Amino acid sequence: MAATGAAVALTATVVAVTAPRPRIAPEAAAAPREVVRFPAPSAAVPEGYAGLVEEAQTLADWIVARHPSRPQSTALAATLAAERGDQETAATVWRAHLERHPETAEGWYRLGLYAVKEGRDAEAAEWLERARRLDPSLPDIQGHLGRCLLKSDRVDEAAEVLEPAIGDDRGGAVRLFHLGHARLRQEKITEARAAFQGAIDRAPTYTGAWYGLATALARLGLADDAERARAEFRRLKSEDAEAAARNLSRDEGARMRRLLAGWYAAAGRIAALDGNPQDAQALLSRGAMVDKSASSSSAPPPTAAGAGH
Amino acid sequence: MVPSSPLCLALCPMTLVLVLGCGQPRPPAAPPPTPPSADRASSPPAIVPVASDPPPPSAAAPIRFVDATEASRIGFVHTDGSSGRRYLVEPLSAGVATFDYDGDGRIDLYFPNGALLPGTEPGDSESPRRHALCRNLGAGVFGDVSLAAGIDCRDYGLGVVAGDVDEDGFADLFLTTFGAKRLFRNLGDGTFVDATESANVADGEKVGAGATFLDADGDGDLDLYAANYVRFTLDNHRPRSFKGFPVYAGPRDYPPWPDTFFRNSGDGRFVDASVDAGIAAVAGPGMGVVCLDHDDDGDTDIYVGNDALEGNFLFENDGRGNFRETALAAGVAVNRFGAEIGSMGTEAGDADGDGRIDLFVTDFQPDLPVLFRNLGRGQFEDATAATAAGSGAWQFVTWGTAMADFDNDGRRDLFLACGHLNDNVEAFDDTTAYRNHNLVLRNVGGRFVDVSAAAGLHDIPRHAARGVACDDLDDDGDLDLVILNSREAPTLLRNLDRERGGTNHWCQVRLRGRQGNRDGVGAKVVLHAGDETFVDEVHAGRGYQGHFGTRLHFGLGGHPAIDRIEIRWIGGGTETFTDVPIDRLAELTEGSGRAVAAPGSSPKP
Repeated sequence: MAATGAAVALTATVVAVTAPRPRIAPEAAAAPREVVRFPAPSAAVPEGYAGLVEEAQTLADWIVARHPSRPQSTALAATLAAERGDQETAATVWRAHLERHPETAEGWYRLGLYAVKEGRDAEAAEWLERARRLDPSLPDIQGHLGRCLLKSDRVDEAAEVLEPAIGDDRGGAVRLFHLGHARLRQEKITEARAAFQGAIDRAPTYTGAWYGLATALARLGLADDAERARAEFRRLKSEDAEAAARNLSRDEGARMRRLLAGWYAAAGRIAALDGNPQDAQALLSRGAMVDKSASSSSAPPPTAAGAGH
Repeated sequence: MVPSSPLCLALCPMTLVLVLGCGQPRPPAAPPPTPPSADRASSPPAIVPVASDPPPPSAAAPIRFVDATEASRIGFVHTDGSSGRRYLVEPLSAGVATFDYDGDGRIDLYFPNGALLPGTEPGDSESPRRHALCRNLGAGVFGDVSLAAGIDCRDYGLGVVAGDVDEDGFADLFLTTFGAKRLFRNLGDGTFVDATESANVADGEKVGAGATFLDADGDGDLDLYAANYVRFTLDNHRPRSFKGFPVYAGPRDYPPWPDTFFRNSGDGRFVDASVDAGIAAVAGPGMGVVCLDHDDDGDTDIYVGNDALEGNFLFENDGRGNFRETALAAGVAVNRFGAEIGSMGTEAGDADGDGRIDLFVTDFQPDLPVLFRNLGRGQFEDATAATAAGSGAWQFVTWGTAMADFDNDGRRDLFLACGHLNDNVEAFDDTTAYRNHNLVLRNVGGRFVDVSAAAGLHDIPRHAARGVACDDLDDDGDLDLVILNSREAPTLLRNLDRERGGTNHWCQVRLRGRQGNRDGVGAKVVLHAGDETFVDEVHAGRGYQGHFGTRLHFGLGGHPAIDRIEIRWIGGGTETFTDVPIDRLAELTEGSGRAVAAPGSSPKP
């Protein structure tokens, strides 16, 4: 419980970091007209989950306050914020870190991914390009960058980034998929077909690639082949729907606990690297405790697959 | 409503690898613990903001709206029941309709409303929980005439469409609800009568959605297509949560209903022809519906937005009212990545000015709405990225939509109604909010630019908007908007184009069918002015489960005259009108070959 105790004392110093800046202006809730309002449901957090959220926040606060110099601390604090859905804070944490350490490739990488998540593709491409220059080995950096360029209507640049980066790894199918779309936009339909086919060769159940292949084949006037590709797309779609239905019964509470346990373990490693064995031990112990509860606790109700549902 | 998943990247094992392995270790005696400051981070020298995706608007605030709600005296307040149990139907709210119910030349309003649900606290007992028919009294004022007009509807309303089903010259009303569907027949004397039973359109107890009238078989009367959502009942309600927060269930939680197709028998009755016509061969969680002649073969096809599952449907008409679902082959089932769209509203119009009717579909946050460009020969492509048709929309759930020329420059702009379905979304997602401002995207040379702020939409109270209807409500030559807001009063936006001295010309046309259906529903109108051609079709039912725009509006830009208008009537031939005036409403009657300027409006008593 060392983490919790420490965080209480340090809350004031980290509040500027952890208080999320609302992206939507506060006046959103204000309506000057007098209207009859029907009672709205409350937005209460069920008890079990509230504890997890608060604990994750406390951990983030403690990590940043106790080990501010370590990039790992920044990464962990930002990740915790992002997982809560608070990308604004996550981005703020990284921006502050990059002010001091602009050479941190992961910072630009994460900022880029947050921007991707928020649909700011032009900005995302800028950050990801910086990250790529610093560390081209970041996970699927070319794929992310190529996709952003494609979505920003920078089609030729997207193709230039993607084509030499296809590789043989698992992400190659995704890069080929985006390359296929770039080729479609360039009206290079034969090359688009080859890219989608390549994606399918690597990942035969890649639903979107089958759709792209069908589109390319139809553009080439190969109606029968296009229809066969569409049929496969339909079949895979129905399997996707079944998988989505299975996700509905996922145990969200247990997943969150396992995640939190992992973060405690990461925090423990940071503390150990900083030469604080007592903190490390406390963090690892708490992580083990949380992990145990993940596998044994009675889970809260199953959740929908997403925020909407 | 495609689910907004949690930040998946944070869940990847890769994340922890990065956390522990990527950074360069630094000595413990690091600089003093100066926590990063939000203020400092707001303008770091190392991070220079890059240009946002869309270019800035080329002209200063060419589109401008003002909130005219209060002056309109509209007293309607929507309720979704707010049961506290989060029944699936609550966030669906409803569409809205604009149509001239009494034939006086002014566009009136119809607002469906929700109803009490188990768990609803009564709240203000004086509040009407019924639908509202609001008569346009002129001068921007509307009066609730529901009871006087014989519409005391307290069903849980979801969708609305207007159409003259009995060809008597007055628009009837069809409503979809959480329950039985309803048809109110317009008697022509300012009153309606409930003709649900005699017309045979109740269609059991379903969660209804968008609906559209069309003359599917070209026999001169209006048939009816009604989308249905999912097989939800109060008894099979499923509480759902996300990240520990209660949220509404969605389309994945229940199997979908097939949609319903009613063929008009011509004797006041409709026959459920869903199976015979090929509609019931597929089923999806339908929401918005719009008709168009997607392949330009002279008959009316049906486009249905399905909510996240099955892909959208395009029912291709064989000209005799038999349909085949062809969305996937046509390229309008899914977006360009092969992903289903959380479709809400659907709209049809010529977005790129190439003379073909394109399709636009609103979507669930964070996915963008989708513009499908019509390539001809019944083929479409997802042109969202190429046209920036999703500008500014990523953080919003988008619902109602209108593709309309708000500045009369001859190019169709986009309006999107925004609002989340979960009233607690801010608790688990800081990128969005329950109440949002709406979006207007100006069409600048074929690319869409988010001009919402300049258009005044950021100055207007935010709501959880749903249905949108777009018509010239004050008969001044520009298109206004009415928006149904979930749980609150609606918003009426008056377009200030004329008041601000807009000099672009315009033209409105009202069709009168003789051989074909009376309002010319489904007719294709091609307007030639100088070297430009403008195309539209008459729709009855569009957007998010609503109805608007039966009176066609064309912005003409600087063209001082109309050379001719060609009309291809459904079930009839093609006819040319050469004497159509600009800057006013003209009535074009089938077979007459000449336009008649519609009489000017005069204040109502």
